[in-house]
Amino acid sequence: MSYCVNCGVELSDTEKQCPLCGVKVFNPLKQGEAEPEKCYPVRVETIDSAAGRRFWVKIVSILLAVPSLICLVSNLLYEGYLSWSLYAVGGIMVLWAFGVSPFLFKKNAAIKWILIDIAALSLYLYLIEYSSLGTWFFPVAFPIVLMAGLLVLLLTAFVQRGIFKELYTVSAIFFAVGLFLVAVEVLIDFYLTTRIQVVWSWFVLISCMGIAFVFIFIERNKKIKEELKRKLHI
Amino acid sequence: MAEGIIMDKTAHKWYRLDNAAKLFPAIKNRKWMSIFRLSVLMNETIDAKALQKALDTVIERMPVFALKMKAGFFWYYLEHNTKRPLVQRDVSNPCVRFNFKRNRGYLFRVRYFGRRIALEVFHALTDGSGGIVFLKTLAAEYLRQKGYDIPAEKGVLNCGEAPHPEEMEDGYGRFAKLTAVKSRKESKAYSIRGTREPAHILHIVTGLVPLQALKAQASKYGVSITEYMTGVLIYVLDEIQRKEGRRREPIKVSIPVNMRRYYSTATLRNFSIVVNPGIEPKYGEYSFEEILQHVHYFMRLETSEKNANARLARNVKSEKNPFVRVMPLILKNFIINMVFRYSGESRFTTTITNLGVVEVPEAMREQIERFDFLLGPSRFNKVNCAVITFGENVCINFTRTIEEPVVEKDFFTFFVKNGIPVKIESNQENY
Repeated sequence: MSYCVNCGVELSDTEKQCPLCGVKVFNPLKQGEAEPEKCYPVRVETIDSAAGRRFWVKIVSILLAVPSLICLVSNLLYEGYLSWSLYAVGGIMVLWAFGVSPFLFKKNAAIKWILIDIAALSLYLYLIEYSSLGTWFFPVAFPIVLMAGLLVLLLTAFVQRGIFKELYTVSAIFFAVGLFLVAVEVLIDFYLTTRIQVVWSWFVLISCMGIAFVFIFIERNKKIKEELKRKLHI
Repeated sequence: MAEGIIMDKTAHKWYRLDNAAKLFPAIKNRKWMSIFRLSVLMNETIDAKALQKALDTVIERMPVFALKMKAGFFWYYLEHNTKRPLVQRDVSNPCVRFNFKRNRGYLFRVRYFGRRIALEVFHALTDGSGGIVFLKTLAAEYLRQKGYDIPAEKGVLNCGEAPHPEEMEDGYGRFAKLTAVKSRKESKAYSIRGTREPAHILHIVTGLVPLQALKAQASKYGVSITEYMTGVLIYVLDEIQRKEGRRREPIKVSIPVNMRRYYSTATLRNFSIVVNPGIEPKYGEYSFEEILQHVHYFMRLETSEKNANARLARNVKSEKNPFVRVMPLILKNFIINMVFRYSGESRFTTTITNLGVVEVPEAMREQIERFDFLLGPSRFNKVNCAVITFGENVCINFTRTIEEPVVEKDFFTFFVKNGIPVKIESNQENY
């Protein structure tokens, strides 16, 4: 019979430390005694993840694969080569990437999801270019998708790691949008006229920067932030 | 309901869920369902073969347990289960959600370890009072298999008899006076804070307390044992909340009340209601005596037959609402879930349930060391407490889903400080 020196409760012989406060039991009279009969077995029951997320991912993937396959086969059968079916299959692929793929992962789902989305979107745009015989994918579409994707990726990573806090996140988003639009204009101009002239994007850039600075200012000024919180809290 | 129909396994007899049971399948999810556990600690190591034989016999006598749950278009319902229930080896983390398929459709499971036989029950099947009848009958039949002569008395059912139709009845439907109902509206209560463990982990701390010492303390204040323990629980929770230093919310403890004490019925299904006594810290600081008085008078008032029935009628009335009834099950589940999420468990801080004194036939008494009663995890609340008394032993089981044993620690040290000796055991070894 041992007592917890901290809580004053008697402890069953099975307890090597007090379950209430964690203090180790030391009873000099009980050293070297036989192991007492246990209260509970060692076996731990777990919850089956059976019909969990993976199951539904598989079901939905199969449901999406069926129409894709039908499109591809019928297209090949009647035309002898792949034409319109690429639009349909690409669309379904993008749908899968955006809607289904996030359920594949448990950890870092957001980052992996964004990477898959970039890949799927680029591939889809390439397929459209390929079957409409365009030349716009590599000079314009791909860099835009890549840039947008990287910006979203960076913002997500920074927010997840707590580098951007509260209103700084908002201003970072505005900065990113402003810079992104400038880059878009540059790319399109270069593709169309091979001359770079910034005509419309600087309007957006300056407005975005203005808004971004306002948010930084608010975040840095505790009084104003508090006042705004009071007036605008939801 | 003729007896022949219940026993006839070829007839696909089905039953409606009772009023309380309708809630539990709707709010269960992939990781959780509402489960409680009763166990008996014998003097000798359990023989699994004899236990299986005993279970085979008892399940014939108690068809109210030989059921599986099915989904209808509007409600879940229970259907006779023709498979044989199998005894299982016990685990260190009881009350993990049932996998009905792997459990052969059954809504209960019988487990054994060392000298203990445990019964775990999904709450849709029955409540603690129904469960203890099953466990006692099973333990008695087990002892008969081992050669003891145990008479069928003191709540042990006679396995030679045919099942009684009244055991199957829905007490709520039979006894609710729907002339007037009591509002269910309650304020939000304080929720215990702590570090969440994974869904399958359940920490158990058992406190064994001598009945006389506890009785002496309770009668010193002129309250019942349940009221005394509820008072202690509220008192320690109040302290815990005060130390957190946040805005304080009411502390309320949910207590199930057995309706069999007012109405004579042999039902083995759910037949209880809950009341939530508590304190509002905004009204000022409460001394321990004040808390006890609050709990005492609240319980006396709220659990009078009239008030209890008005509460019960409220529940039955919402089930009878024509809009609710014609709603497809899937929609009903969604709405019940929403209501449960926003007004169910958030209305009380914790639960304490006292099953009272377990009586057994004299011949059985020497073979039994003690009974245990414990509640599985709640869906949102973190600490539960269940109490059962056998002979001179009051067994208080705290179950929690958070790492920190704050409530148990304060509760049991309060006992020790007030001269009630406590013996502690736990399942901490295995995690």
